[in-house]
Amino acid sequence: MGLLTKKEMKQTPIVDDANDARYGVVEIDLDKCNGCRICTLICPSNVLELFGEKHNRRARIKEGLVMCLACDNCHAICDRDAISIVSGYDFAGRYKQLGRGAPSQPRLEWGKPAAGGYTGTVPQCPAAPEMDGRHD
Amino acid sequence: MSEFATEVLGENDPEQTEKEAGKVAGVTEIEEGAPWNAVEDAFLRRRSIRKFKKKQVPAHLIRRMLEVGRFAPSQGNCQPWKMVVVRDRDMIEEMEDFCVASCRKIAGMVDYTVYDKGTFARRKTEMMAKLISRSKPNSMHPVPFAAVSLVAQNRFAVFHHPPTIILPLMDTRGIGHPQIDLGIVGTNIVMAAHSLGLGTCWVGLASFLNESPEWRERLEVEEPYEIIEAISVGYPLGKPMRNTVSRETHETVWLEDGKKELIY
Repeated sequence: MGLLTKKEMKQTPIVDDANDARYGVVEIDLDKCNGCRICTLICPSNVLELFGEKHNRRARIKEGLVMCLACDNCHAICDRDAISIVSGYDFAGRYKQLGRGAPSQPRLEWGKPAAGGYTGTVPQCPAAPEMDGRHD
Repeated sequence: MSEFATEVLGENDPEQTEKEAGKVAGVTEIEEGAPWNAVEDAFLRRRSIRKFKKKQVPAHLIRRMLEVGRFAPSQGNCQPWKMVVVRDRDMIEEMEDFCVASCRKIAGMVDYTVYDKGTFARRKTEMMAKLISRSKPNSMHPVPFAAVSLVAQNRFAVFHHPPTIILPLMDTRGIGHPQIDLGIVGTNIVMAAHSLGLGTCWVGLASFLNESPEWRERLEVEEPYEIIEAISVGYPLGKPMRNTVSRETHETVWLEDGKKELIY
């Protein structure tokens, strides 16, 4: 179309390109999960599904393009504390997140580790290195 | 200072004032590391609910929420809102269908994820998405883009089939930034709902309704009002408040005693 410069073209990330978009990651403890299905029902991005034999199902992340928003609602609702996020989402170009820090549970005191994955006093935004070149 | 104010706040005694402030939240003294009080805990445990029980919410609870909303702060006390409450199941389904159809139209123009890489359709839609992203950077953020794509593929709902929907209409003549005031009144409403054991979800895609003259008429939306958001209300499925969630800590700039510090 010729309406956008090459630089402007790179500013809009392509949502299904791993170089432009990194999505949230959840970790599921298969020993704790009892396949109750509630996380698959409430997930806002529809990224979870059940697998396994009848009466012995577990939750897992779907294959293919999964756009997890790292909302952690699956962790909030899980009766068995079997699932929680490990990292958030980020995009290259115009929508790159700035100064986010690492995910942490509510803290009563800052600078001290809290239950659920606070990783240090000054956490770095865990951006994928290949994205950095695209941000300007 | 008036006699009344002196009696309530204490004269020039910040410590006394702090103690009084704590009493509102049911805490007498607040030291670092003290447990979250009831109000803080409510904010930490409130989640967006996207799966509701079929049971209708009693009308008096909805009125109670609206009553709490009425006391939200607004710029210049201009109160730039008007509430529309929809509790008709058929109408809610029709609203859902309309918004899904709108998502399909948009996805048809810009959703490149459904095409294989290298095809003409993919290149065309990708270019269109990039072009619109220049003029509408917020609407074309990858997250709403993905939401529209999922709705168009029937993998996600717009309103999530709640028994009640509240549409906080915005008076476009509001002072300063009326969108902010809408956000505050909505926060009052959703937090009141949370305290009553109800679940709520903000629905931004509801703004499609504002573009439709038919829906504006059906929902009694007239100038100068606009539909900018909707709030779905219902009884949540499961126990979504069982755990608190993790969120990014965010860089905070702390300026004190002539020094600058970045804390997380």
